[in-house]
Amino acid sequence: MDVSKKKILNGYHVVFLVQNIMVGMGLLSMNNSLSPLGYSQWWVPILFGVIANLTIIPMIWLNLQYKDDDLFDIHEKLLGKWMGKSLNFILLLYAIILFSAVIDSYLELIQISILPERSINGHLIFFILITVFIVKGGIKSLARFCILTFFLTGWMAYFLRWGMESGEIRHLLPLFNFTGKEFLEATKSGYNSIVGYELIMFFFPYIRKPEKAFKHSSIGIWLTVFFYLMVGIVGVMYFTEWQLEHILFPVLKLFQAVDLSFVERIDKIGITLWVFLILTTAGAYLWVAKKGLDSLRNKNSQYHIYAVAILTYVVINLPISQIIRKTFYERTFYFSYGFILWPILLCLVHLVRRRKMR
Amino acid sequence: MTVSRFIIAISILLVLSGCTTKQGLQPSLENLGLISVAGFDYIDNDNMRMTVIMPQPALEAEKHTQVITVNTDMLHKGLVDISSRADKTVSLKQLRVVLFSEEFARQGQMKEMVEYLFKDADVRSSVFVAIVKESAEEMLRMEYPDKQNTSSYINNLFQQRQYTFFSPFTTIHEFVYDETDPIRDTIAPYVELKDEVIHIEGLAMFSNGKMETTFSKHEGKIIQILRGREKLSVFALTLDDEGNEKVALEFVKSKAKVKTENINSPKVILNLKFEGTLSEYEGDKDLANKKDIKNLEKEVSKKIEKEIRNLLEKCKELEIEPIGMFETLRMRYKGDWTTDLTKELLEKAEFEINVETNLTSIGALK
Amino acid sequence: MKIWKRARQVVEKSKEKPSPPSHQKEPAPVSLDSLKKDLTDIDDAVFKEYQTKDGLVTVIYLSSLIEPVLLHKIIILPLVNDKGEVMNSFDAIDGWNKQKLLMAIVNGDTVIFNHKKQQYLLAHTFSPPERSITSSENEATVLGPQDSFTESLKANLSLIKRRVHQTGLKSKDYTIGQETNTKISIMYIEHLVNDENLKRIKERIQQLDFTGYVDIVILKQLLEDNPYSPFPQYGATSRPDAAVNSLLDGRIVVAMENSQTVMICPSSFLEMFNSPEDYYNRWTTATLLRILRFAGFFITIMLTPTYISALSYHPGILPFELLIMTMESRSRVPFPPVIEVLFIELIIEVLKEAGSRMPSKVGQTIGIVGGIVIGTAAVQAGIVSNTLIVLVAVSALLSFLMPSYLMSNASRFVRYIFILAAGLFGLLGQMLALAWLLNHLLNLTSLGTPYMTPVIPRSWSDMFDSVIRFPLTYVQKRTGMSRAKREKKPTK
Repeated sequence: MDVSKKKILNGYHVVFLVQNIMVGMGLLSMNNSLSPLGYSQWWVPILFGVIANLTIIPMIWLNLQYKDDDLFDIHEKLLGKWMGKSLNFILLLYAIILFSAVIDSYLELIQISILPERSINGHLIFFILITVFIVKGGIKSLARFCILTFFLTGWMAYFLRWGMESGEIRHLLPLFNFTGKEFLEATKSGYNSIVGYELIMFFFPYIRKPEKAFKHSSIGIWLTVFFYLMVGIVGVMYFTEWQLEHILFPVLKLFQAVDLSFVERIDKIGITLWVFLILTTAGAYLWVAKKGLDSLRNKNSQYHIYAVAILTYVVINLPISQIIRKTFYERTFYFSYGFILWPILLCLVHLVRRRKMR
Repeated sequence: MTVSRFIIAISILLVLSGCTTKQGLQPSLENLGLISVAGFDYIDNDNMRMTVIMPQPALEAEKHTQVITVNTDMLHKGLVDISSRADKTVSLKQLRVVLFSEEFARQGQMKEMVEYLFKDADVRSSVFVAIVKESAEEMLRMEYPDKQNTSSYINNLFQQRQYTFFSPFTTIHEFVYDETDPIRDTIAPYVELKDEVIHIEGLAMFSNGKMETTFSKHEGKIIQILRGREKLSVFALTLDDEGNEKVALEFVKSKAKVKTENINSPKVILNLKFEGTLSEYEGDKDLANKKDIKNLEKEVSKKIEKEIRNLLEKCKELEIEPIGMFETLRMRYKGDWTTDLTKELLEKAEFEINVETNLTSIGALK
Repeated sequence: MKIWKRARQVVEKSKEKPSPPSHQKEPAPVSLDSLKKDLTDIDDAVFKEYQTKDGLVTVIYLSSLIEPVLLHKIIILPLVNDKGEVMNSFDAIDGWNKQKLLMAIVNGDTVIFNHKKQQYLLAHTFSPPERSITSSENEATVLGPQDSFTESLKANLSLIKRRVHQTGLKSKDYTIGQETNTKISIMYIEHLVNDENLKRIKERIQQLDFTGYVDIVILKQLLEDNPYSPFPQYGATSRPDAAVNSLLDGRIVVAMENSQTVMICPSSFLEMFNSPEDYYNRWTTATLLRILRFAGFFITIMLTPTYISALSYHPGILPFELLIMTMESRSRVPFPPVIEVLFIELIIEVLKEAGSRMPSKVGQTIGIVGGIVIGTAAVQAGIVSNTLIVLVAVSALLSFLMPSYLMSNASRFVRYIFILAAGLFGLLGQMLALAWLLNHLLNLTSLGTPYMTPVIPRSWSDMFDSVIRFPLTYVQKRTGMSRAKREKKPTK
């Protein structure tokens, strides 16, 4: 079986894994979270792409030093057993919280716009179940699912045509009409739409050609940036600044502009098809959580997936008010910014240790 | 294990899908009162009169449209009231057209209402907005015996057609867009009930969320051209003041370029190009003669130029900017552009209009 | 899957055959009487004695498996007109092995016992009534060869071997089945087939322990990687040209006595939508048809569920005219859409089932009753809406587009999952069900190879012969699915 083999991910698997983990709820609200920049926001995805590409270098370099280890093992090797284990525990919590954050925010959107009469519980169970099914096949099953997801959802970019036609291309200028403060604000809230590529540190040991991983993950990142850029441009063309600021999910409004003779409200189809993108993202975090539990308990067991899934179900159903939950998730997303920079520190630790060894 | 899991999944599916339909949580299509057109009339600053029509598909029913009117101060409260009078669950999922009475629009409540609809997840953003001259309720209560039902009649009326390009057919997205765009002001079609038929009479012009005035159909045409509409079906002009020389162009392609220079003493340069077939001509020029055609082209250009200038001067006077002339200035402007800035520029603006007309063929005329 | 294997092993152990008594201990060949005793109550077992030059001989056979003319010609006449050499023309058979002797008789061979020499001889006389080779009914094509496999293994082998003239084409025989002792033949081209695949299929067949095989479809289900899946994981065909095509691609073809289809393994999801006629048609037509079949699969599982979603959850997605029309047709229906759809879908299933089991004349009547009486009357009575009748009819038609009958059954089964999911969560339910379906398909394997090739690419050249069939010059390479030893098909 595939699970038992160690090196199982081909180049294209890496490309689509990176790409699909990145795209999730973030894209739906990207125009909105970048709205402090006004019309000048459309090129920001490129900047984010550059940042992502730069921050992935230390990650891959670190992983290349420990070819058969994921981040959990690296922590234990670099920082000692206790330190490493406790850090891994935090990482595990992080993965579980992000897993539930991704699901929760998507299902909330579903509840608002598609199934207002329904409680979240029913589809939550099915959603988690399907994520578990996907992850049960291991990282390769997830990667395959990512490939299909890309082709199933990528064509939706065509729906941007209508927005583009009725939009105003002159909105794209001026390029730098914002202050530094606005820029920081937008980056803070907008960068989480591109977060997700850091998970390469966990599936790196499964990659068949580690030396080419950088190239492949970069392709994945820029594929994402390409889609983000398209949405960014069309969003800026189609909306005014006020609309960008006040519409929570601009992509859905862009889908509403689609004018087809046989079906209307493409946004409904769009949101439901989005479930694939959410499944890949959520699946990746579930997989990481499973790996974390594996390394904490020094035992490789499929039951860890079920444990994490049940835990998540409980977390989402905890009687905490929506606002507290939201802020909590938001904080976790800020934590992920730190997590992206964390490998740089680890690289330094690694260098120091190596010098000492000599 | 797989089998047992499979059986469990299937049975859950069966039980759940069966349950929901029985409990009737989710009313299916025939139990929904799908509002297709809603109308708002003005009572006072807090209250409004809301009229909705719902298509009634039952073949046996005598009337195919259900009309309900309520007085309310909020949209959703109104919907609840309507639900209590209808035999079905009322929903906005199929809303197609929203009508506002002129008074309602002039009082400035319309902007709020449209924004509210725009944010509602059930309402599509392509719902048409129109201003009714007198009462929206009357228009919806009116019976149109030669039409299948009022809903489809009104819905079809606002679909883009070949000869109604003068009307903007504003959707709620476009309304909110124009309203929140500091560069330009909002326009919406203006309709009137005449002889038991709905006429599209012209354009309603908005400024700061309030309806200010109306423009005629012909002015509407020019505004559409200046807003960048490229294909016009028919364009008719009277060349001299007495009305002796008339021209009608068909299949007109227009190209309008609006450039603005210098923010301190703004000069708006409008370059327009027309290309079309001459379909009707009344006058004493010889159309076989090339020179005469050249002359005719020049005269047409001149006439259009004059009309555009008149319109722009009128806008300047009314302090309404429906076109968005200063977009090119905004492209180079640092900082936040405000509505006041637009108004200020409009006041100072000078216009340079260049029109070029090209008659590609004179059609079947000789 | 592991559990399946484990279960199989347990069954195997518990049923282990007692080892046959070794013949060495017996002093003499099996006596005629003991044979007679084993064949009592088989009334067509014949023991006939003839006096020949070599002394008395007894001829033993089952008359139902042997044509009398043949028996007369090759055994009785030579024996009676014996010229002294006749006994040498028969094969010798181990006289101590009673089991073997009985097997030979049961297989339709004739056993001759020479009383003087106490010696058993064997003549191959198996000649059961056979039907002649006819054109394929289930996989009929306009173009291409019209012959199809019959129930005789020998005939089937000849149909294949007459198309491939080389020694590389191997056919290895096995006898399987505790009770039926059915003969199967594994065919492959030695220098093309992937050894791992071949090893796997042989191992699996040897591990099997099943009572009886009436048709190859049973063997197929037992050999599959995931027996719980609704999808068939090996190809099946009754057309020799399709079988040869797979052989040339490096696949393994398994044929069985008494079954008129052969099994092709490994086989992919996309190949279930391919018909051998695709290669006889021009590539444009073939592509068009393949797209139609492939899209047909997804439309047939999505069409009626979408009706449910649109009517019960998202009336907003209907354009205005369609809405009015649907509302009109729904206005008298007293059931919620899910029940309505399930009702009419089940009626279609019933009609299909009734029509296919009845003799053809009655079948026509059922078609009329179903189509006209139930369809029209149900709509007029207001039990179902006429929009739905159209949709259900279309999706039923689409489900028969697939050349593989098992695949079309699978699509009909999967549709019910989608219907229930749509009744549960509308479009979201449909998409979740689609996610489940795709994930299930992605994780399926056929003889260890991913079922979803070329979506999971084994080799990029597979793309030339997937949903779009490129001109044949592009389809030279063997598919990645079969992992053939030689990738390129020889051009000359």
